[in-house]
Amino acid sequence: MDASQVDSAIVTPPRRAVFAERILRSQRAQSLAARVAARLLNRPLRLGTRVFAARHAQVRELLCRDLDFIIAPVNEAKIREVNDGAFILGMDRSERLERERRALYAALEAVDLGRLRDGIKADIASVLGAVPAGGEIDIVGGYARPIAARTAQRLFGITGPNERMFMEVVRSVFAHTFLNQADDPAVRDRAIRAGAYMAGWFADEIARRRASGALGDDFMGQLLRQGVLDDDGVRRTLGGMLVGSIDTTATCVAKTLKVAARDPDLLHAMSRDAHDLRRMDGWVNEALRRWPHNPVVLRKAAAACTLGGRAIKAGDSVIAMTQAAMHDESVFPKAARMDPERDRAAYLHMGWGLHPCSGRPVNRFQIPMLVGALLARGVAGVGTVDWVGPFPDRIMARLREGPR
Amino acid sequence: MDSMVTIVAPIREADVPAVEALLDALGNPPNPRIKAALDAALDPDGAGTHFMSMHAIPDGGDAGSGDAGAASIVFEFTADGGADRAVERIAAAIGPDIQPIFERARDWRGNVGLAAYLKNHRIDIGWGLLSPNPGLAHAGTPGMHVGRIRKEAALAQFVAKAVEAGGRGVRPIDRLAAVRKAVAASDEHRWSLEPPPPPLRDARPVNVFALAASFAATYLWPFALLLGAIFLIAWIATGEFGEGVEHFYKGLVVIGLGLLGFAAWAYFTLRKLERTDWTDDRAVRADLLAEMRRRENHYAQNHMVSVTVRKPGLVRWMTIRLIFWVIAQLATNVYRPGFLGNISTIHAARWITVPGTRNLVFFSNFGGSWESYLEDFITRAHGGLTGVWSNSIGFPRSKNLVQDGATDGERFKRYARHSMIPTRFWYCAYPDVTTDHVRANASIRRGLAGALTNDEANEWLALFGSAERPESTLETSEIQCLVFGGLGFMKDGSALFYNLPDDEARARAFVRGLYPHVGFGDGRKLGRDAVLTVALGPGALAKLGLPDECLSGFAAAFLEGMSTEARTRILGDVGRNAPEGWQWGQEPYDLALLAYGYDEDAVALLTDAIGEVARANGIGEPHLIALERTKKPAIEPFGFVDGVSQPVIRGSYQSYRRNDPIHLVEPGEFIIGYPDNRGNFPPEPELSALADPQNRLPIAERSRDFGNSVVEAPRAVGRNGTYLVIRQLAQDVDGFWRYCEEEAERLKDRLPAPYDMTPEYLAAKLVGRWPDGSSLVRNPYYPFPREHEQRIERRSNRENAQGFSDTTAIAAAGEPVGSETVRPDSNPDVGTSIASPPQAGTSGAMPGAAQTDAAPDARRTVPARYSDNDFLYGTEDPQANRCPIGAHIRRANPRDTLAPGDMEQVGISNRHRILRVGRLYRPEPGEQPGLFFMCLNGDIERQFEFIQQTWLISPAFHGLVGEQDPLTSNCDGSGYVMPSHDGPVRLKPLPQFVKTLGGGYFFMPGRSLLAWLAGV
Repeated sequence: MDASQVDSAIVTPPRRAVFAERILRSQRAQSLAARVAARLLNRPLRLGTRVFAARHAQVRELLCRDLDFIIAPVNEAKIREVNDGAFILGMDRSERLERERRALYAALEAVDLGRLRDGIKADIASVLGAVPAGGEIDIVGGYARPIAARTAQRLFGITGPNERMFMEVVRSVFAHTFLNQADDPAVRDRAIRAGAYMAGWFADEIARRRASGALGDDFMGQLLRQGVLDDDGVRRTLGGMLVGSIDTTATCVAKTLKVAARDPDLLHAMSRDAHDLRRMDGWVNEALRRWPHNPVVLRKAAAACTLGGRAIKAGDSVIAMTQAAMHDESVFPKAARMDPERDRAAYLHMGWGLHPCSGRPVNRFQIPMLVGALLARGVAGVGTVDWVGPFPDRIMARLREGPR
Repeated sequence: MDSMVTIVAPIREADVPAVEALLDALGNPPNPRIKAALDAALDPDGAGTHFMSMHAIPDGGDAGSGDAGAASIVFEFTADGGADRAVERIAAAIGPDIQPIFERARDWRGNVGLAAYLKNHRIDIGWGLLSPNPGLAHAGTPGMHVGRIRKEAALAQFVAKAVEAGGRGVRPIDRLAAVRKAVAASDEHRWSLEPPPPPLRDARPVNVFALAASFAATYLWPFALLLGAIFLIAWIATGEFGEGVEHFYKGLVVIGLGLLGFAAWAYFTLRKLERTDWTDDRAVRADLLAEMRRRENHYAQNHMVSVTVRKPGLVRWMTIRLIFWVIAQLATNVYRPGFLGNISTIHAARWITVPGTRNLVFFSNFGGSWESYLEDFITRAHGGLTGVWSNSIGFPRSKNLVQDGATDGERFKRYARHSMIPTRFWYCAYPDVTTDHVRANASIRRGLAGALTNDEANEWLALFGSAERPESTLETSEIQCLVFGGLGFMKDGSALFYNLPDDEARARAFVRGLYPHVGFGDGRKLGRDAVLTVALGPGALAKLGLPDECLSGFAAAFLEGMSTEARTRILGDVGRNAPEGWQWGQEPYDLALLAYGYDEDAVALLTDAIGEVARANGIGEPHLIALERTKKPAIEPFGFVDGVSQPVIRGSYQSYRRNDPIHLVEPGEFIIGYPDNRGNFPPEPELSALADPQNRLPIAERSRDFGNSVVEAPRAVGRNGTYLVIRQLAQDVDGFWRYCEEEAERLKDRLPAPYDMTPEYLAAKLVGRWPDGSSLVRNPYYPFPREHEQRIERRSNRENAQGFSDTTAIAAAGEPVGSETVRPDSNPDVGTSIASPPQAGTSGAMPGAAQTDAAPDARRTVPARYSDNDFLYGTEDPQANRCPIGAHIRRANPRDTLAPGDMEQVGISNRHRILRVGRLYRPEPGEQPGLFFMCLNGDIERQFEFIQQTWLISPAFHGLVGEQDPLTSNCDGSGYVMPSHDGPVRLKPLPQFVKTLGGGYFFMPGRSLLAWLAGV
């Protein structure tokens, strides 16, 4: 394939969503459902073989009781399909999970995140520097997504033949692994094809580094240097991590800005804190409570048990309503109010228990940096969202001020 | 353990001996062929038969079936999978062996086949109104398959050996990793590394509405039907819906009243029967007992079968069902899975009623001996047992169905034995595994595959012969040894203060070099001649890589530092004590190191080693403070025995020797991560799990039997650490005694006998104790008489010679010496014993004083050995005529002063106590001697600073006016009042006797945090 081309077979195509899908993914519907569930579901609710938990304590318990409520039936097969092997987000507690999980976090901890942060800063400056005062920018396709992709390239050590191909591959794999609950065969086929590309890129780069002896000091380099995982294990781990790194970031940035743009007071308050990364992190968490990148987390019951007084049968699907839990007044007092000073530990955006988002050390600064930099330029208006599958793909925003 | 199957086949009474002979052929223990066949009868998923027994039960006397009688073959087994599958499995394995037994049945038809016959004769037991066979079944290890129990037992044996092979000094998580490696290499046990099944969950929370609904559905449904019929009949008959409703309500009232009446009648009838029921005290026949004993105690488990006859009548027909319902609800909703109350030893047990009879048969497969099993019931579950068995003829007399009965232990055991028949055939699938083993082995497997953190690995290791650590039990090997008594047995020492480089790698390298020298643990066996105590300032924690969000969780006082302006006001470090005049500590040091050794050479070797590590990492010379060699007892420079009154941490070695409740405090008062005196866990600094990818730091949450993951929970970095306060305090010894002499001279005629206004007396009034350590409260006019000391010393020597006492163990710096064990047996205040007071001497020294090497200016000839410390100020000296309220030790720990006699007040005072571990510093020529004061705190603000601010230097302490602590305050000219029986005696304003030379707040980390900071 030419270095500038993209394999059209792996590109997630734009399509017109059916009405129900549009309703389900809209901010208002999700927010309403979360608030209603938070108010009404004192006990988990059973609907057929599905059980919904909405209380913060119940969601935490559900996600911590990972031997009762397991993840492998939810994720493992899909991850294996696209990643050519397992990844910890599809594994239940076992010796293998312990070993691979420890290797992942130890390698991540050894990465110089300060340098990564500098890279993001430079990328932001470069992208926003090209937008004049009063100019417009696509805050997903022209901003958050490519910058997150470049961060991923620096972190994971691969670039693909070109940036677009790189992003499309990651998106396709992500779409099937975590979002294809209906098992759409088209989504699956795209992901498997994309996964093959991804595996190849990693395998080539690992082989190249092995051959050169220069293992590097990025995430890949740290994993290779540890020697805990074999090269295939390193590839699987990198693949599993990469999948969620780009579109999660882009979606969070897009949704945060859309939430802010709908509420002028909120936009004003957030803009005041544009340069305060800690406060901006708080604002992002709050905005995402209204419209999270993912409102629920799924598990399967491994055995008959109870949760919050509700009997659960083996094989039931148990749904942790994380967004609703973040409207639980017993943990988020005055939940409708946006307060960037809430306890960070209570947010469930990045999961809870055994399987939180592995990339959260990067998310913690990358998303607030991306949002803060835009707000610092004065966001005068945010357009409608163009979706590609489940992903926000294009949102135009007009910036009031020019580059400084 | 899914199916508890009971099969009952009728036989003629006359055939009982023949069936028994056939059962004997099967054997108990079973003959090897039968056992091998049943052992091998496992489904691919591991489902099999756990326990099996078969009996020929003679007629209980109520069959009414003519000459044939109502004898039965009762075949009971506990198996995995459905009942039909279980029957088929057994029939396939041992069908030819047991068929001859069932061929004796009265209704055996040869053309049906054994499995079908057994299925047809399976009885259902229950407790409902329509249940023909009242009964109840209980499984002790629900959800566990035979295959799993066996595999996990074999795994546990394998792992127990692998655990031992780990070597010494290995972190639990690394030891677990080594075991996993060994398991991974084993073809037989590799399966255990896969995700384990979840643990059985505790009982569901009790839902009263659900219980009420269950009761109504079980027992009240006929009345609901009746009400419905009344409603319909009334409606149809009158054609008026309202009439139907009206009759419904009338019927409801009538039925309700009827039920109440019935219940009252039933209760009073029951009570009447209970008073008159026959009790059977006969002993079991010797030959039967021998038959039973011959079959018992071959395995880790035993089996029993008891046959009794239910008492006749409607009341007993009802109560037996009710008690089964109650026990079933308790087992489901209250007890832990597999437990009956607190009894955990039952593998499988059931009560059944033989169809067509009132024969109540009890089968149990239990761990341990028959004697221990029945003792368990007598002591721990007699209510339930009495509730069931008191419905049988001959049971020891009961009361209100569940009271008395089995509590009459010996009579109950005699009754139980008498009711038993020998178990002629019994099979057990895992003869060496008790229920405790089953549970522990499941935990071992779960932890082997699923423990992710060092804490969990530690708990996992406790499964091998130990037990789960209670939250208040000290992890002594994680706590620096200074906490446990000041290390007074290491007599020489130095304090070194360092600043760390900004470069994190070098800072970590330095701490890494120190790490092997640091002493941890409670006790003297440290295995080396010198040990290091490491205490870190906030600067060190930051330089060593603790992020800001974690640092902010440390105590505010610690983070701000002792020398900040706000804290100097709290501490009274103003005027001559202001940090501007300190020799060190104005700028907080990063690191305080205490190098203690058995002798100077050992200390020198250690400090040289530290210096080398420092130089290797580009760190300059430390600020060094040489410490005096400790002596026993410790005497501070003014000449007073020091360290008499110390809190004792519950759970430390000391607490087992000295446990006066006045001084015993919970670990959380000093050591972070433990419950405090109020039972709370004080907040502690936490670190994100991301910073501890190796999962070695303590976790803020505990895993429950490895069933919930805690790996992402924050790290409790403060655990096993404590805050160390250091202050170097110079003491003006000449000034102190000069003041006392001058005031004694001035006031010599102020008070009548028995007061004797000597310098020593005045000094004691300022301090609150006599120089020998005896208390003013108990010895208001003179020190504890010397002859008493000598007598007690002789006794102590005798005890020492007999090896009873180890006073040296608590003779460390800052330690009391045998204080609580000996009380003065005379109180001079009431004139029972008066010794000659010491005479005033010259040159500021007390009479007969000689310099001792315990303290440079110690002016006491005979150091005290028996300082009393179990007194209460408020109770014994409420008016402070003996020990002034403003005296140093009364201010420092007022005990019950503020609310005389109130132990709650003692508890409140104890919330502010500190653990002193100081020594004397070695003054340079021309310098004043003094204390290198050190104390440990769980909370600097609540403890050290509170004492300093609210008690010691407060001019308004307990209603005093214009006074401050006479020893440690810095306010020249503060007054001092000594109350007496002859009115208050006011001393001249006191000069400042003690000056602060330096100080700082530090944190003494636990082993895990220190290792993390060092990168070890």
